[in-house]
This record gives sequence, structure tokens and C-alpha cells, in this order.
Amino acid sequence: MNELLQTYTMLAAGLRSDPQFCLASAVTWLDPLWQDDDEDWDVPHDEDGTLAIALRVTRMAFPDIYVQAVEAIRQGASYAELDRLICNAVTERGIPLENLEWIGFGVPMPAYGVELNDSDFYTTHPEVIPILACFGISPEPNPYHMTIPDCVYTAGRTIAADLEKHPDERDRQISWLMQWIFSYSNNSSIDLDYESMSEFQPLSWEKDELAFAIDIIEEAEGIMSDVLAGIDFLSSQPNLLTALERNIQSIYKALDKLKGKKDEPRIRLAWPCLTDGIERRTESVA
Amino acid sequence: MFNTGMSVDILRDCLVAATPLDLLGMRLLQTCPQQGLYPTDLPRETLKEAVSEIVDYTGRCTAVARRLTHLAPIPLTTIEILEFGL
Repeated sequence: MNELLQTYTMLAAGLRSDPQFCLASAVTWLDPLWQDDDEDWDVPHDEDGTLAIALRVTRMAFPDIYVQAVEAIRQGASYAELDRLICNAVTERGIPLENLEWIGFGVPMPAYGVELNDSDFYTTHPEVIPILACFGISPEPNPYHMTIPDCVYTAGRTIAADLEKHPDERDRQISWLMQWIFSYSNNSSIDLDYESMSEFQPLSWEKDELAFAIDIIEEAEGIMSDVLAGIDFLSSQPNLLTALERNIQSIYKALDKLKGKKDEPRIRLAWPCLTDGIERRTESVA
Repeated sequence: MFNTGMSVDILRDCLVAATPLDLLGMRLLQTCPQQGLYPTDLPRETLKEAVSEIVDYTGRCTAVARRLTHLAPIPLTTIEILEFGL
């Protein structure tokens, strides 16, 4: 070993043997950004401070990602590489982060919400058009004049509430489908489209709010899985689509009888039995 | 001290008697068999635990330092500190 290496080894040993130096060395190694959060950090490849914010977030919320990022910086990773590393790692933990630039605004949430007045929805979700046709909705030639009457939302909510109680999972999946279409699930990621979501203050990366965001996202993923299953099942069952349309018409009639009152229609809906094809009778009690 | 019966010596004894800080990061450094400055090839979970502990510790230290800077000044009329004599 030459003298230079010997000196290096001696200094390293000295850093470890003295408790104060050892502590300083441990902090430098494991938490190089330990200084006050408001300070400007000298992070390479970070012209507008995005990476510094990302490191601050990961330091607080994802220590293991913070370690990975710090290691990558020490190895000379480029901004693009760090962007991918952090985004992929955060996404793996359940938060859909597409670009580091979003990290400073708070926890990015998926927005699956439906805007029935928006003609783009019918272009991006053609599989839902036959189902919406049961409600009397179809994409119109002039997309700027699309207005969905309130009775459609009432019918959607009534059907969702009815099917939600059914023991058969496929019925409940159709209920989730209705809750998604008519923004009725009480899960923000399901009920809000991107534009509406943008109007709310995002959840912060603080521990409690992050855990809350993950709960919402996990629930939303489960709901969307049921929604997709509901679309597949309903689209493959013509008799169920017919029953859906008949129930919607019954609800519309019940709403007509209410003559504009804000009460929800009390109506018993009939659905084909999914196992033996026996259908119960529709009976309006309103 | 300051009319509470605590002297500088008692305060010093208290500080000396405090349990030495035991941080996983320091232990990893001290037991590092490599010649380099920092250990390598550590299990991810170990590293995560060490970082979380250090981040928490530095946070507590920063909070204490902030509180100390906001303490009201206390005139030391009974203690001679020659180093600061003007």
C-alpha cells in the first residue's frame, strides 16, 4: 500500500474512532441534506431546484428512495436518470408520479372521474356508449351543446344504490360502474376528473396525509378494477342491459310523478337472476 | 444553577452521565470492514433504518437548537467566565 492510500486509510480510521467525527461522518454518509430545509442545496444537474425539492420529499416520506437517490448522485447520475429513479420508486409505493416536476405540489392523485358533458369522454371510452344509451345519452354531433339532465344522475345513483346491496359480486361491480359514471363513490380519485382535481389543494407528503392518499389510491384502484369488470360483464349480457334500460325508464316515470320535487324516487327495481335467469317483477312504490 | 441549586459542576456531571448516543449509522461505520470511507453492499432495509434514524436524530437536534436560540437571556452575575471577560 502506498503512502497516499495509507493516509486515506488512517483518516478513515480516525473518523470512525472519534465519536464526534464518527457522528459527523455518519450524517454526511446517510443524510447529506440534513441542513435546514429552507437552504439552497447544491445538487448537480438541478437548474430549477426540482431535484432539491424531490430529495427533500423523499428524505421525509421515503428514506430508502432518498438513499438510492443520494447514492446515484454520488455516482454522477444525470438529472434524467435521477428523475426516472425517483419517479419509478415512488410509483412502486403506490403514488403515480410521472414527472419530478409534480412532486413539489403535493401527493399526485390519479383522477379517473367522468365528465359526461365532455365529448372527449365518449371518444376515449367507447365501451361505455351502449351502457349510457340505456339512459338515453349518446354523443351528439355538436359536442359543445351536450347537457346531461339531472334525472340521468338520479337514475344512475338509484341503480348504484340498489345494486350495491346485492349479494352477487357481479351486481356490485355494476354498482361500482354506475358510481364511477355518475361520480357517486365518495372516493375523490373516482369522482373527480383531472380538471376538477386540480382545483383542490393536494395532500402533502406529511406522514398522515401520505398514508391517507395511499388509502384513497388503493381504494380507487380496487373500484376501477370492479368498474372494468362491470363494463365487461354488462356488455356481455344483453338481458341485463335490457333490464337496466327498463329500470331506468321506471325511475324516469317515478321522477315525472314527483313533478320536480327533490325527493329521491322510491322504486323497487327488477334484475335478472344471474344464476337461473328468473326475473323479479318491477314494482313502483312511489 | 441560577438560584436553583444547580452548579456548573453538577450540570457538567449530568451531561457526562448521559448515555452515549447509539445510532445504527455510526455502528455501521465503526464495524465497516472495508478500507473506504463508507460501507457498501449493505442490505436495503438496514440502510433504510439507518437513514430514518439519522434523519429523525438530526430533526430532533435542529428542533433543540431552534429552541435554544429562542431562550430569554439570563444574566450570569455569580459565575466568572474569564474567556469572555471584556
